[in-house]
Amino acid sequence: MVAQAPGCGPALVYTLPMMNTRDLVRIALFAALIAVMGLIPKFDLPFTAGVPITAQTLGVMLAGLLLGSRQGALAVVLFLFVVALGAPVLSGGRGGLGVFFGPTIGFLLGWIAGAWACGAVYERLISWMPSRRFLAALMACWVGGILVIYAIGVPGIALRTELTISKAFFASMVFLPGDILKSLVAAWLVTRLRGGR
Amino acid sequence: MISLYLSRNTWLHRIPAAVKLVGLAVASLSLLFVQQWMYLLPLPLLLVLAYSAMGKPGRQRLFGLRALMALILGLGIFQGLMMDWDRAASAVVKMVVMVMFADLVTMTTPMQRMVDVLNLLLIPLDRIGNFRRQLALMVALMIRFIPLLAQQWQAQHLAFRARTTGRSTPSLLAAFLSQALRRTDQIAESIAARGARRH
Repeated sequence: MVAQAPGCGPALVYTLPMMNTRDLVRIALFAALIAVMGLIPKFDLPFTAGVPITAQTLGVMLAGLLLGSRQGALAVVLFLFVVALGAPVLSGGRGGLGVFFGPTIGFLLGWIAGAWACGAVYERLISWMPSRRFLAALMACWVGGILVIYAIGVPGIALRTELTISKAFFASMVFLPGDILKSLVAAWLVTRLRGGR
Repeated sequence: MISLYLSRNTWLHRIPAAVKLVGLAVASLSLLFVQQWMYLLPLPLLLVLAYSAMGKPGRQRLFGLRALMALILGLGIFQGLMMDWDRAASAVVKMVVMVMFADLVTMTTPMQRMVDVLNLLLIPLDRIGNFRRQLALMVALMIRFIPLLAQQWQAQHLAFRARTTGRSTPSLLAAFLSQALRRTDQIAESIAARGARRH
């Protein structure tokens, strides 16, 4: 299993048969992309009491769409792992173990399943209607990037705050307009990046 | 690497990382069984004292938590209005305590110690391949990619602004992504050339 180039000392990379170096680098890239999306385009909605609406879920959707279900989910896992290690890579410079005890933890964990679902739905739809990339990507984002993330995030809020599910859902609705906008952007980006896979 | 760790030498820093992490897990579980939130009220005060003991950076850190605290408080008020105030207060106090405690652990534990603990925990996963090696490579790459991508975004953003009048961010994003993906393939090739024969 040890991969070693002749005369190069201990090898840097040990590989599994199904994950080659390119996959590892791409997973790392998309994890970094989710972090960078938290730094750059940020627009605060005035009525959300300081909760920043950032493009980080855009990164999650793109990870699923461009990397596929399995690697997209792995990119999110990697991102959350680095957050847990104490890197301030969540939007607004947050990070560390504190966020894992906050009310939005369900959403963060939902990103993993969300990226997976995004990729899985997109793969199915694109083989079904290969010429409609935008539509396929948009549907995938709605299912994976919105439906699945909320399906995990909302019970997460309910669990952390002891709100009922319906009330927690009501409280999470502030994120919905931004998420729909992001799904449109993600789908459009996929049509622009032909051969992104 | 930018990190939320605060370099100091307090008694909290001297506790081993594993003990702090276990303490965090025990605290989060035991809070579930506390019925009377009134008994928990001294805890946030104690935590505020612990933060203040770190001096100015500690107080700044506490101030940095305000967005999360506002969110917790906002949810608490919402819950109080919709349901009952007693349970709202209990949820708010428990969450505030856990967030502050966990953040304190991050603040007083160097990232390397954290990595060491996780490294031990992940040993069983070596059965399914060289998982830890791959994880280490991916974490290192990701941390390196963040400033790289941020720089690339800045450069492309400037070039875009210089050439156009509009402010169409999506098309800028497309250019940013395609260049990032191209770069990834180059990096993968050079890693393969340097070390990994099998890929």
